[in-house]
Amino acid sequence: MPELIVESLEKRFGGVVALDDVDMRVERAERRAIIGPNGAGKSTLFAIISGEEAPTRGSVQIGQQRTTGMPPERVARLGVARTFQTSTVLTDFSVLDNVRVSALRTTGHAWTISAPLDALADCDAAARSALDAVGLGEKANTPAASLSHGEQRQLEIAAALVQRPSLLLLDEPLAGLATVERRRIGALLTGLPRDITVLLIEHDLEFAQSFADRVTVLDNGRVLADGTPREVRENPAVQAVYLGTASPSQATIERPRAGGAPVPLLAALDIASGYGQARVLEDVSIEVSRGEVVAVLGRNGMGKSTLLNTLMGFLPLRAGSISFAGADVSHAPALARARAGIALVPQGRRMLAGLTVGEELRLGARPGPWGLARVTALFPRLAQRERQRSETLSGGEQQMVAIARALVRNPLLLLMDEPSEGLSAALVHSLEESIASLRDDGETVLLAEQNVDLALAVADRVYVLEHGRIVEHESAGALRAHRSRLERFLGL
Amino acid sequence: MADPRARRVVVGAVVLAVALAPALLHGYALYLAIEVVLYAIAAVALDLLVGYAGLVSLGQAAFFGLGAYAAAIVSAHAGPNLALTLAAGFVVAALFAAITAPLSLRSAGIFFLMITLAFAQLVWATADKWHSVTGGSDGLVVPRLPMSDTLFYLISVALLLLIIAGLARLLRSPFGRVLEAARQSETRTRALGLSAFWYKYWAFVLAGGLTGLAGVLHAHHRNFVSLADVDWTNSVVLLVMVLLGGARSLWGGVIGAAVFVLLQAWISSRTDKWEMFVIGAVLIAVVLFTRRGLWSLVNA
Amino acid sequence: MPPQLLETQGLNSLAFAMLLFLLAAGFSLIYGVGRIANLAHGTFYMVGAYMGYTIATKTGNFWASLAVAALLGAILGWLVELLLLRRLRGRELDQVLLTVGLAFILADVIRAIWGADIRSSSPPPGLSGLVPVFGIQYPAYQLFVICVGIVTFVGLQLVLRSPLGARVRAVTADPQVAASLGVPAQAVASGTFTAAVALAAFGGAVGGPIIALAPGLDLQMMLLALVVVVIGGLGSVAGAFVGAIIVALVNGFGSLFYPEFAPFLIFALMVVVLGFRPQGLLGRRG
Repeated sequence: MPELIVESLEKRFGGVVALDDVDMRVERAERRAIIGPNGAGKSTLFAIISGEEAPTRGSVQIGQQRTTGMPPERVARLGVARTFQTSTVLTDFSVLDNVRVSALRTTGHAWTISAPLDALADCDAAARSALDAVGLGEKANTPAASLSHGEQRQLEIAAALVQRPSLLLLDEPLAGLATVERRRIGALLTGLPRDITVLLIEHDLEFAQSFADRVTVLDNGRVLADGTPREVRENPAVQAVYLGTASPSQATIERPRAGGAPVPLLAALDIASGYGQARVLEDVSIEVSRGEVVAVLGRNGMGKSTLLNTLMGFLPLRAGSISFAGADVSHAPALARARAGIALVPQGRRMLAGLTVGEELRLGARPGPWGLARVTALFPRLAQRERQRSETLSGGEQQMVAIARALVRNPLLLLMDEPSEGLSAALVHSLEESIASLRDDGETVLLAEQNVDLALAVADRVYVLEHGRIVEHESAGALRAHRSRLERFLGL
Repeated sequence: MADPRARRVVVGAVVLAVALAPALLHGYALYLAIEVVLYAIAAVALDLLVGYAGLVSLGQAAFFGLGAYAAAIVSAHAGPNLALTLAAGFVVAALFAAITAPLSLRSAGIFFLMITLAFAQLVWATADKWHSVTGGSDGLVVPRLPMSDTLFYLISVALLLLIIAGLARLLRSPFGRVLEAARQSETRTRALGLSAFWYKYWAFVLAGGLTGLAGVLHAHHRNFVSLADVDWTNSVVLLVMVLLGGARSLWGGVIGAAVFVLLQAWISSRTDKWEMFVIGAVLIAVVLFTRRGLWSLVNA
Repeated sequence: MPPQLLETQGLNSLAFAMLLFLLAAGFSLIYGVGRIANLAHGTFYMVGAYMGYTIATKTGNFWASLAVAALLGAILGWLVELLLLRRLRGRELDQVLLTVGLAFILADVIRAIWGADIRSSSPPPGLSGLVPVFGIQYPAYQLFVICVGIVTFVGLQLVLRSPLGARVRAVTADPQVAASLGVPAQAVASGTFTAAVALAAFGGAVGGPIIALAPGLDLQMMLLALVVVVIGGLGSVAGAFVGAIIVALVNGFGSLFYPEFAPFLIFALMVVVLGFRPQGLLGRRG
């Protein structure tokens, strides 16, 4: 008896297709992991199942009930509980109250006004036992705000469990956790009651595979593969997504290094940063010299975007220093860094609503070799779209606009955050050619990518990030010759 | 003074002083004391909305005014009877809240602010034009209640204390906790299967009704009801009181009302010109320099 | 109802609509760029009106009064943003409350300086007569006001389509990405605020001969401008234009036919729009 049936699900946001004809059947008491690169549509899928978003097309059925378009509170009442990617812990409450409030509906006290919450024995007992189950029993009376990030995750799991759900949705429960905490929460999740159907989104692939009975792989909004962890691991299409294809035709001749010592342009030393309470980057040191193309590889959730956002100045630095073109920019605002010559192609494109393509391109343009004519030559499709609002373009075209508008700034350093995301194979190939030609023109690029083929084809040097730390630093040539070295970090 | 015992001593002393006040005060001082108490009721009601439900309303004057007009009209027809006018004021105000809330609560933040303002202006406009019922810009006279000022004061204080005690209990109950949960994270609340909308709805209706009670007391206090009672200045004044006293505590509403009424009285004794200036200046000061108001100083 | 009366009322409403537009457009832009609901905007209008009145009566030069009012508005707006609003960056609710406090302060200052008597400025000699329009004799000044409104609308649209306008729209859409593209979001926000306040003050001075100056003018204009912005859409200048015309027409003809219900109609209209299409007719969500 399937617990969850998703049929022909489609979700569009403007011109972008987040989910395309997704089908999924999850059996009762099954543990299903949903994995895939950034932008694959995993969170959108969860949002639709739990009711926060309504699909553009298709249907969702939980148990016997059609839930398409139901608001989240109605879906929850059918026995669905979930945790969120960003913490939704009630920070003004104590740990115990967080769980008690979660237990109100199932203990029938949602509308009680005659007795204080403290006095409800059944609610209290359920809450305490949930806290004990996750190992927070002793912290019951402490303010939830004082918990560490990992402990807050435990709290969210307790709050979900106390609802006695039949279907549990876990959205990246291990994100932002240090190794020790990851193991602890991982063990907690593995020890969940076996009669609960669990859907898990995780970037920590080892955990996802050890936890799940079956795995669904999403890529670009479509289901790429669906099977046991082993089947998925051995599926060549899935491997290509994570590891790239090591076909020799894609090998690039290593460019001879120009004479003279490398001139360092960007140097980040022992930097740490993160979002809110989460720590994402720890002790990261990166250097980029003029004329180099440096790639940062890593599975999603490992910190690539955080690194680029920190370098651009979107995220404050918690430790360490960043110097650019000889000046310390550790605490400089993004505007100052942009003016100094750093340009960013942000992840997820981030088009400016209300502007046409032409306006986006002209917005930050600065004098230099990259003019409008040249970027249009690089991306001919943009010429036709010049008067169109950028937000109405397809995902791939938006990506072109994002790259082009950074290029016309004629930056000293171009940061690219997963530019291949959302692009078809043909477009990825032309992207590869574009970056290669940038490299040949002497541009300096720091490229965060999940597409290994693309990165290895254009890069001079490669860093690999895992769980917020640099775990590998090697020349691209060496890695091209020995791809197996990457499997440890990037494979399934 | 984070010590709960110290806090209770302070509160107890204040309550004692307030209860003994009529023995010590007469005339104008008693007048002011009554003013403080009735505004405190309205401020505490707004506190429920702002500090606990997370709803910043700029339209409380509507409920205040509806309560006042209800008192005037009922008194005119059935004679001045406090119990009757209080009941009528509560019902009329709560009804208006019940009808307008579904529309108001669809918006959040700034939009909620503007829509509550709009609804209040609707009431003002109706009061202005419906001369036959409300007296328009002339206002309505409210016949005197057959009781001494002292008795009126004591009844008002009792009402205030009852309301605070009742709200405190409500806020400790599951309803109150869910309301606060919805303020902190509507997403999480809904994911628990609890409809954030309905909790906010009932809080809004209750706050409206309580503000109506304040309006009734005001009508009997001044023996006069006018458009000034439904003016948006009143909504702003209530908000200032809440912010001044600290939105995260019911007693903050009382402190804010006391500080404000006394300040205003002091200013108007000096000059009739700078009242609004002072209101504005205080508001700006509170916004710029404190995060939670004076109560947080007692609460540390 | 004689057609001349309808025509006169229609033109009166259009003139009033233009004044509302001047106010609403600025309010809309301030909100779009900085997410600030400037509830002191009506008070800035009033400041402009009183300044314009004083300068026009003292110097006899009406045109100078318009220019000075705009300039003073710009200075006032610049100072308010720099000294007060900037400290509350990101705290939207606090910013709104600050503007409310400011409105109260300015209103009292105006009352202290000019008193509570109702005043009215006179149109400049060139525009003080009647002009034949569509078969009726109509005050030239009101026509002038209509022209000012239309010219301002066209001008604003041109500016918004320009590269400068693109920067304003970019900051409205995504201040972070705009900053990474070299657009100084803070400067754009304060520039917009300054310009909007200048426009409001200018509107006040222009409106002096039409709408009487008295305490309460600020509230009257502010509330109507709010309605305009809600109906037309926050962040949209075109929406402010359309919304102003709708509101002024409803207000004008409402007062003519159903004087008791006219204010009721307008606010009911706003409430309905907010309830069912919160982004307004031409606005965008968020």
